[in-house]
Amino acid sequence: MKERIVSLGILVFALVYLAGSLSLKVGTLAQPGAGQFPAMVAFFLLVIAAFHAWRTFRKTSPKEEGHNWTQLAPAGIAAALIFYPILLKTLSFLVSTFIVLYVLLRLLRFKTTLISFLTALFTTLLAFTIFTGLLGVTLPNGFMEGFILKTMGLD
Amino acid sequence: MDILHQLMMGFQVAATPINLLWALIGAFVGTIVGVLPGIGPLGSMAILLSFTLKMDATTAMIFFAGIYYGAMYGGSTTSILLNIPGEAASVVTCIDGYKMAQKGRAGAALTVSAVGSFVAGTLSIIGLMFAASILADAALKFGPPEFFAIGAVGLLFLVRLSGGSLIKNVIMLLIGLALATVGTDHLYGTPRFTFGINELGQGVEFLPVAMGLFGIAEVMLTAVEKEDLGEMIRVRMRDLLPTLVEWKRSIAPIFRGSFLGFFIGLLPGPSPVISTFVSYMVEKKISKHPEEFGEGAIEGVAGPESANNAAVGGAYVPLLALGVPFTPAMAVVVGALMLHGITPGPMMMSERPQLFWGVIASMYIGNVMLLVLNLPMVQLFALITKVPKPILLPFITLLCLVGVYSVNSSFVDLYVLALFGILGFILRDLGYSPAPLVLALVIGPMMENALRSSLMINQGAIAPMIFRPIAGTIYLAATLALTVPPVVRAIRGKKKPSATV
Repeated sequence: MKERIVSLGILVFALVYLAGSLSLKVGTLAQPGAGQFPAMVAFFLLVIAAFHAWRTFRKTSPKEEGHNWTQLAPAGIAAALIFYPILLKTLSFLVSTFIVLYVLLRLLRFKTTLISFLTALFTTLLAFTIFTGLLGVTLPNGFMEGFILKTMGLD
Repeated sequence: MDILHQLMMGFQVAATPINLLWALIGAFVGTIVGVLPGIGPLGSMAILLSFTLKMDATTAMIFFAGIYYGAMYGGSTTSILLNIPGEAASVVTCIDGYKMAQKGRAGAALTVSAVGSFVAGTLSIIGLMFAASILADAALKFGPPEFFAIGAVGLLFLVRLSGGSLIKNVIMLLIGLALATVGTDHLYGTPRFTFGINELGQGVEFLPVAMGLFGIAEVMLTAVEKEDLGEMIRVRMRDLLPTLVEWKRSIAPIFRGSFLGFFIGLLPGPSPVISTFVSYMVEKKISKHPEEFGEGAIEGVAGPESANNAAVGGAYVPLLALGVPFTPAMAVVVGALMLHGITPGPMMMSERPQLFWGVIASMYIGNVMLLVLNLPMVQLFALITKVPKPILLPFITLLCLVGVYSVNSSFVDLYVLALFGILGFILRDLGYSPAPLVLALVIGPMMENALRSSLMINQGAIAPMIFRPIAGTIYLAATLALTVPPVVRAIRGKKKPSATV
């Protein structure tokens, strides 16, 4: 089933990409336009994706392959990845990173709640110090970050 | 003589305290990465790209070379002591390495593996030095049709040699090429597939895609896999010395593995992995005691472990000489060079000799460091496998997130990371290899430019693009290499049944 869904997804992507390519100027062989190379890639992708989808659907009793995607751990990691940029934009680096790290540690059942809390706190502070202090990276700053940077003499 | 002079200059660059320090850190990190199952050299190089931002380009390259070599060294440790390959290129070592360990010869297997890796690494660097010089000189004669031929043939080989399903590899390759077309068209300034997002005008960034497909997807896959670490076999320092017979049996396989590994390393695809299988098959075939293979034959450790290290040197040749990465790990190296505003190519050797020869010299130094580092600390490195997943995986995720953000301070890059992390997990779980996608994303723009320039030069005629001396030779060689083996196999297959009848 998963194999079928993915093969259909690829086929849809190929169709959309082909439509997008053709909406650009394709040009001629002597004067290739911006859409020529994408159109060539899209055409090959569409043919192969269609063949792959046909082969996948032809299997009479497809065995369920791979892992269960709805397990808590990968689903939680996926959610953390999606929400991190949103949190980072609104809550600055320290708070957003701490939240995501703590949630991941609990999700993967790392020791106790307290140890997870302390590990997330320590790691967040360490990551901030390394990335801003040693590597000179500018991370989204709030009140706490400003205070730490001031303490480190980096503001 | 000129090469020796240049190499001396390279040693002066590599032997500065800062470069020595990063070579050591790279070797150390690489060994840890090699030891840890799941996180390969590619993922770790992608994750650590952001750490190279403040470095000089030469230092960054030295750091990455250390990681790559270190991973090849480290991978053998867990294969021998735990029967768990730290990375794909050490799978073969499990067969005889673990058997040797069970028979109380773990120390000998580890020493032969380390010495073999050192010899192979050194020999392959010599090969790289000469091959890259010759190829870079030849590449100065290349025009757009030749570069398109190299890109097209390279990607063709990649899908053929990557293993797994051929059709899935082709699909991933084409998706990679499609992603490479995102961004402003450099000839007409037309935005392509940017959906009004300014950040996409520069194209899809390589780093979040590579980190997503290799780093985050690996984390998610590891999270769903069952942890099953076997009992670790302990090694004492005094057990590390092989017997005279073991040394004698290892010397020839080490040299054969080095030779094979270097040449296989020149091919596109997962060359370090392929080289180990080829070396193992060769050793078994020419051995006087093939029955010992699988039961703890030291040749089965010496050959493959030498081959995978030599393949690393080989893989650097097309990158340093032509600027074309043939393996995903080399694509990350290109990413690192581009972060420093350097586009690798045939001119790199003459325009940036300090970088080119500094990296080569650092490989010699790195190999010595790895030999000194690995043997005394083997037990410590093996213990790293005991780091529990619940602490390791969140840390890697954090490194990926902050690492990606730190390069461009871009939130779009974080969304790209999330997208390719999730897609990578789904696709890899179903047997789609991410390597063709990543390589196509890197080589794609070069191929498109080369194709368009070739067509414009030849006024739309395709034949003059193909039937040029160098481009034609590349296409012919590729056609023969891809078609002859299956034909020979088919003929042999037909002959066999009739012979038995």
